[in-house]
Amino acid sequence: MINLVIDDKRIESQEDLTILQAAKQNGIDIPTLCHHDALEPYGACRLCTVEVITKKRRRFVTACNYIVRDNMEINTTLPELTALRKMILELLLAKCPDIEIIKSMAKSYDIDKPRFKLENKECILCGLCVRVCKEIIGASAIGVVERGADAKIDTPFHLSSDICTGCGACAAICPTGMIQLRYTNDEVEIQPFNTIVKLRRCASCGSGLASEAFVSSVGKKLGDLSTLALLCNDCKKERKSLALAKSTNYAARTYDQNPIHRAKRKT
Amino acid sequence: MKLTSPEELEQLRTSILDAIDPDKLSITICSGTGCLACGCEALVRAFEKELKEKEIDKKVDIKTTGCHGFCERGPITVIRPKGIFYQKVEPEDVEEIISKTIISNRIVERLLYVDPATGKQITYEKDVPFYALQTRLILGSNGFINPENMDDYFAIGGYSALSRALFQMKPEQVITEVINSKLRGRGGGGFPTGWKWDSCRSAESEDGTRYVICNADEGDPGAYMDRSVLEGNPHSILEGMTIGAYAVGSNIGFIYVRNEYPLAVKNVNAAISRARSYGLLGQNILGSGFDFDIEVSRGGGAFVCGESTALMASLEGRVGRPRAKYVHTVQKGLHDKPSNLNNVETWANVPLIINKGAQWYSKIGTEGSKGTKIFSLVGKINNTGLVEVPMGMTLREIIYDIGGGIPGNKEFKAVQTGGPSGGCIPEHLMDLPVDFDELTKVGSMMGSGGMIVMDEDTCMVDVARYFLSFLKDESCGKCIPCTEGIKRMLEILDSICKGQGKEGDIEFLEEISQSIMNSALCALGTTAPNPVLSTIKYFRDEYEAHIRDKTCSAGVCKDLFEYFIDDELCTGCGRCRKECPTNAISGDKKEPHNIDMKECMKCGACFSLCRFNAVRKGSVEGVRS
Amino acid sequence: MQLTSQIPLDEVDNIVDSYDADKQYLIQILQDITSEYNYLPEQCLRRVSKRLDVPLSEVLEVATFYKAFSLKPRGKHLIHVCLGTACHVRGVPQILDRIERTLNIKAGQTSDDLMFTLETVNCVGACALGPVIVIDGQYHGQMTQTKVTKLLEKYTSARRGKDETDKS
Repeated sequence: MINLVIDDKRIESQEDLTILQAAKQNGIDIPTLCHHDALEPYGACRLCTVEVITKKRRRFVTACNYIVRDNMEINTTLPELTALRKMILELLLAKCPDIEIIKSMAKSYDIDKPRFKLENKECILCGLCVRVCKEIIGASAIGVVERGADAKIDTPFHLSSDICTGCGACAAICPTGMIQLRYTNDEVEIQPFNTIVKLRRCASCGSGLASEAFVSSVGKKLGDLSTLALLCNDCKKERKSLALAKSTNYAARTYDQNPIHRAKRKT
Repeated sequence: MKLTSPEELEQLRTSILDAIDPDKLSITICSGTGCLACGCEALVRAFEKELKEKEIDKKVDIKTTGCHGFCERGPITVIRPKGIFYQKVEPEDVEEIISKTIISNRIVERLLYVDPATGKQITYEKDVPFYALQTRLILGSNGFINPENMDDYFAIGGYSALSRALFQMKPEQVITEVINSKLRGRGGGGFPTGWKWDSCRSAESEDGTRYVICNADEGDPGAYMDRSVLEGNPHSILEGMTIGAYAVGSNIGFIYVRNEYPLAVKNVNAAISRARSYGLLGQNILGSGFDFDIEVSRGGGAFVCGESTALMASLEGRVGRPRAKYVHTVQKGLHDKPSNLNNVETWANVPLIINKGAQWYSKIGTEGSKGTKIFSLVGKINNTGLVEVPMGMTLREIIYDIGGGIPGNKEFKAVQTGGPSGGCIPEHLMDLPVDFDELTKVGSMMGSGGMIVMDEDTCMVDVARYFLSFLKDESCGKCIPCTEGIKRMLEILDSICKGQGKEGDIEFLEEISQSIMNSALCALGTTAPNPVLSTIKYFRDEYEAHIRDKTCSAGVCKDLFEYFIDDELCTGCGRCRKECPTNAISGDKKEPHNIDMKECMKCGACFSLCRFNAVRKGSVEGVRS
Repeated sequence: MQLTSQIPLDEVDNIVDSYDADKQYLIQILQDITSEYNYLPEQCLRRVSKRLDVPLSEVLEVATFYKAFSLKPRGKHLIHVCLGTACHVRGVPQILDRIERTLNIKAGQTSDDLMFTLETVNCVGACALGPVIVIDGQYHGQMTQTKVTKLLEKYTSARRGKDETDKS
């Protein structure tokens, strides 16, 4: 354990934590936008910038990826920090004036009207979608193309991705809500990535399952049990309970006999 | 023929030196990129042809070298051993040079340099003030080496420093020597090189891998020092890197050269092959048991890759987006291994320090900045070129004594140093000694060595706008303060330069600047506001004139001035009328001409070609009335 | 112009093999492909992604990040206008303007007939000769608007196949 001072509060912390983690554990909130606990710190939004004072010097660092050290003094709210957070939000609000999360974060810093010419973009380039697709899902279906102010997130050549698993993690993690999933009978469409993913159907009852890509990759991992990948959860449960009933001689209801499913089918 | 001991190296050197006839004439032709662009290849061919025709091609050498530095006067030809200095040499001059100078030992006077200060012709290279006032410890060798001939490098003592380090010094002693020399990084950061090496050597590496890297991504516009050293004396870099590798314990090195330097890439690669064949790179260098090899990597065209973490990402085949440097690259750099990255010029200083010693080296320069620095002196300057001076020489001496002052007798306005991370230094600070700390104190920085001279015809608001435009193009796009902040600052500067500036714009620029400096991810972002802040500091009046009076007195911002023709000076020759792309100029032959302001698109063609200075710039209001 | 389906990929394989299919050489590989094909065709990028086992999205990140690469076919003649600071203060913006007007394309674009690609570059290091433009690797210094117009005419009149000499 090491000793820190955050905002004049003495704190004990484990080593190898980031300032953000140590602060959170002690009830101190530092604003973030591009951070997600499940992903590697990215350091793009710079909102979590804090002041760090060690015996050598004073510097501004991002809390999300700076590891704490013994006897470190940290200040999370200073006039300069508030000023830079306001500037970042003002810049974002000017770029994406209709995005709720930006509007509300800006408002909490008293920013209503940016002093810059308004654009009407939706993507704040937090990178969360790209990062989740790479780090967690392992598909890397999307990436950041171009650089600088022209940077945008897209599939290669803006073509429908053939490695997207249709999992929707990108839409789930997107703070602006601009990534949308639209399900039809057979497909899920992911915009703005111009991607349509075919859905597999349950081998037993025919309800929508998951994308071809996802099903086959799970199937591969299950090896001998790959047929389990082709059933929806309910059918999997039914199969399990049938097997259980067989081995214990209890009677079990089939799928169709289950009143819940009968009721579902009537609607 | 691999050299397997220091003795063999010295034997080779002795045999090369013995074979040199000190009286043999050698025609040295500068073939750096600048002179190549001036057509020196044709010059070389002309010399070869003429020597053959006169049947003296066996008696006279032709040596093509790297950049001599006096680029304004290229193509340059120096006749050695006397060192007769001919400038602006054309293929048509070759016959006369051969018949007069080579054969008859006479001077071709019209090709001599004339010192504008005295009006005198100067015969010998060493007497040319441009060179005489410099201390050319590094660049000086360029004029004597054909980069494609290793014998030349051996002849000037090449690889003796490496031999000394490998056989007479322990790695720790090498580091101590560099620490004691107080050499600071020449790429812009100015970090003490010896301490960097020390940190790299002590950094943990699981499998013992460490890398040494040469940053040859010289991206500052207007700076080409590194290019000239790489093209002209590539072995000095290889030698320096090998010494550094020995010191930190590395066996693999990389030279990362920017994409826009094809000749440098070619020459360095060729030098590496030759060094390998001599056993000066590769396994068991000089029989010492030390292995080290170097690979050349070309950049893809991104200024941000001059930043160390972006450079290393690029070496790994990834996009050049910087990462936080909370863990230094000497600890975890390329492939997460300890990596020592130094600039080209830093590496070039190393053999010098090992050969002559830290004590000798630390006598040159100032207290805080030792040694010499190569600057590219460019822009509105008479003697455009590369100058190498001891740290501590004043800006005034560099710009006026060596640089020859401003062309056309125009008034000096500012000198910009440090590239897009630096600032502009005005006239009243010209006696500032050139030194890392002194330049930083006044709001600029040493940077990599670009020194852009500006005169009364340069608009300082436009200069700030130019740098922001450059950085906006080069920003990697990852962090918001840099990507969006620079974009918006540029918008404000664009509107100021278009005459749409408002009261409060200057303060707003300062406010945005402060936030960017406090929050951007890497040095490209955090230093981006410097050109803006330094021009506001020293040239606030120009900003105010743009904003309040809608005037650009330097006559650069198109919407804030008008061209007009002074009918007292106009001779009616009609050249401007013929060249005008919008037919905005009218007038009869031999009668004063007129510019129609409605049609004029301010391209400036008439202004640059009028032989009588009759085309003038005036304020919009003044000209229209 | 070749259709992407017709681009022979053997050369791509050769290039990848020459770097031992090591993904740290992705940028060099893309540079060599650019030298061979004059741009980065989609098929080549897909092949590289497969051979190096690097996700296509990451190959695209690299291909669009660096200025040396183009996803669109480039012109027969590559014109680079130096926008270095020294050239800037010596008036290169007006030279660029003139070139853009003469060729009817903006910096970063390729002419419709695929004759010219016009790009800006941040300092070629020939500052004594500023303003500098580079055409097909050939440096042209001390440019003026008049000179650049004449220089471009040499390329455009050569294309027309006429043997007109400039009378001026």
